[in-house]
Amino acid sequence: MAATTPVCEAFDGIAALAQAVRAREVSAVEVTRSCLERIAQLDDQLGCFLRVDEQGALRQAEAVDAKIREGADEELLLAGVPVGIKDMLCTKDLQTTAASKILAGFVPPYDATAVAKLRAAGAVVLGKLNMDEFAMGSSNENSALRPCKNPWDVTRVPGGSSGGSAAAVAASLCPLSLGTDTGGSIRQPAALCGVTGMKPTYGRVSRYGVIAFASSLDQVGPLGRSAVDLAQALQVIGGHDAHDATSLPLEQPDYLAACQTPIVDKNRRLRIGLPKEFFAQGLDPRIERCVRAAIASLQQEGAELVDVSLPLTKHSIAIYYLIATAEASSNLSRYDGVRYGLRVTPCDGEIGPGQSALVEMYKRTRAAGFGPEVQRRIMLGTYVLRSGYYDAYYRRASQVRTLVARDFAAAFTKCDVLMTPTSPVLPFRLGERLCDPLSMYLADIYTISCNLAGLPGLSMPCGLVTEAGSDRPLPVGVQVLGPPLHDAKVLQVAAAYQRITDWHKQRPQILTRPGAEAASP
Amino acid sequence: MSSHVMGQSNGHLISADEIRVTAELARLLLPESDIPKLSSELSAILAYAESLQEVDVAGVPPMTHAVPTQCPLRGDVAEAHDSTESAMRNAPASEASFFAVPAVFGGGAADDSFDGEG
Repeated sequence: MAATTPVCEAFDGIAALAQAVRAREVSAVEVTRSCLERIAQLDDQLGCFLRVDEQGALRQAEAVDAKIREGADEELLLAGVPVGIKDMLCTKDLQTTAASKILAGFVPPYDATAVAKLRAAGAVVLGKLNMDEFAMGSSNENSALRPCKNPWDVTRVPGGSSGGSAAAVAASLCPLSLGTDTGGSIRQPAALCGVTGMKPTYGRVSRYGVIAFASSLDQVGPLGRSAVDLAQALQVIGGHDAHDATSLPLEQPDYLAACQTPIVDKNRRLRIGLPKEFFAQGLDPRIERCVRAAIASLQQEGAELVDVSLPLTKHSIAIYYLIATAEASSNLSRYDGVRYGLRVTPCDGEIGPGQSALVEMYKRTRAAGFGPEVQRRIMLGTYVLRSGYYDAYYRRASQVRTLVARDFAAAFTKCDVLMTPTSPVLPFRLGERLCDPLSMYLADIYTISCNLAGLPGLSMPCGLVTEAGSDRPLPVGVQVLGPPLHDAKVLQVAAAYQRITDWHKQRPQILTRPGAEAASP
Repeated sequence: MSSHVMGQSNGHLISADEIRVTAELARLLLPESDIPKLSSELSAILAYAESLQEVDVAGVPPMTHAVPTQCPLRGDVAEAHDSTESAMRNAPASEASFFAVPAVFGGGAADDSFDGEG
C-alpha cells in the first residue's frame, strides 16, 4: 500500500511550516488533513495513536486559518503545526486515560498547561498517543489499550514509555509530539525510533494537567525531527506556571538563537565530557561505535574531549525504583472509583462481616483497573513507604540521589556537556523482555540519572545498525546531558551535530514514498 | 532498624503475609494465587536495591528538586475555576452535586445509590 507523504514533509522544520501557513502558502486545514490521511493509512499497523480527534483537529485548523486571514497571527509561532500528545497530558474535551483501563472514559475539563500553550501558538492537536500504562515501562508493551510498533521494524518495540510519541514522529504521522520523561521515557523511545527528543531541566515545563507518576522526577518535553524543532517547541511550552509549585520562576533563554551559535569560537571551545561508566559492560558494541563516531565528528569541529567519572551511576536504577515507586503509590491512590474512571462495585454476598463496602469497592476497582506492572510498582512503593521502612528505602534513596547530583556537578566543572549512549541495546523484539521486570528496568541505565539530578537531556539519531539476517536498519541514539538550567547548551550541541550530519533526516524504509529513493545511510 | 529490612542481602524475601498487608494498605484486591509470584518479584527488586546500604549518607540531605527553590506562596484571593458541574461530569455515580459511594461502614447496601442522608 502506498502511503501519501504529508504536506509537512515538504518544509525544513516546523518554523518554516508555520511561516508558510502564516504566509497563506498552505492552509492549516490542508496540513492537518494530510496528517490525518497518513494516520488513517498507516496507524492500524503501527498503533501510535490511542485516539485520533479528526473533527477537533480540523476545527482547530480552521480557527488558525481564520486568525491568519484576520491578520491576528503575531503570536502563532506554531501556526498549523500538527502535534500528537502523549495520553499522559490532559486535553480539554478529549478523552485522556494514561493508556490505563482505570481511566476509561475520563474526559478532562481542562488542558494541561503545555497543551494550552501549544494551542495558543497555533498548533493543531491531532489526538492522543500510545504509551506504557501510567508511563511505567520501557517498551510500550504495558499499554492496556493496544500495542505500539517500531516503524523501522514492526516486530520490534518503539521503546517507552512515550513509545507512541516517538513512533508517530518517526513514521511522519506528525512532525512534533509531546512526551513525558520520568526515567528516560522521552529519550529512550526517541533513540529506538530514530527521532530527536528532549527532557528539559526539571521545573522548566509546567506539570499542571500532567497525570502524575513520580512527581519529583516527571518532566514534559518535545519529540521531533531536529534539535531546532525542539528548540522552537520548548520556547512555546516552557516557562513559569503559577499552577505548578515546582515550576521554575525564570525567564527562558532564546533556544533558537542558541541553536545557531557555533560550539567553538576564538575565545572558547566546547568541552564534551565522556563518563567512563556509560561506556562500560553491557553496552552493545555496535551502539558504542556509532556514539563514538558522533562524538568524534564534534571533535573534528573543534570540541575538546574530557574523560570524567560518575562513580554512583551503578546505584541509579536502585534509587530510581525506590523513589519512583514510592511516589507513584502515593499519586495513584487517587484512582479509587469515586470521582472519575472505572468503578467495580462488590456484590452483596462479597462483603464479609466487619468489612466496608466502600473499601471493597476501592480494592476491586483498583485490581481490575490497573495492569500488572502498575500493580507491581504500587505494591513496591507502598511497601517501601511503610512505617519502619521509610528511612531504609525512600529517605536513603533520596540521600544517595543528592550524591548523584553532586557527582554530576563535579563532572560539569570539567566539561560543558556530557555525551553518552541513550540506550545500551537496539530496539528489542516485542515480548522479549516482558517476563523479567528487572531486565526491563536495566534498559534505562543511561537515562535515569539525568532525572535523578534534574538535568536537561536530549537524544538524537547518530547511526543505523542492521542486524545479521535482517534487511531492516535500526536507529541508534546519542544522548547529550547538560547542567541544570543549561537546556540551551544541550540544544546548541545537538543542533551543531545535526548541521554536519544527516542521521536525523533518515526515514524508515517501509514508509518512504513509492518511486522515491529509499533512505540510505 | 528492623532486621527484616536490613542485612539479609541474599534471598531477602518478602513473606506472603507482608504481601497481604501491603496489598491491603495499597487497596488492591490480590488473589491468593498471585502472592508467590509477587513475593519473588518484589524480593528480587529489593535485593537489587540493597546496594544502596553500602553508600555513606551521613549528613547528606535528601533531594527533591534540581534547582534549589523556595516553596512559593500565593495571595489568598478568590479565583475563577471550573464549575461544579464540570468537576462532577466524570463521576461514575453522583446525586445532585455529590459523589455517591457504597456504604462507608459495614456491608450495608453495596450499591451506588445515595440515600439522601449523611
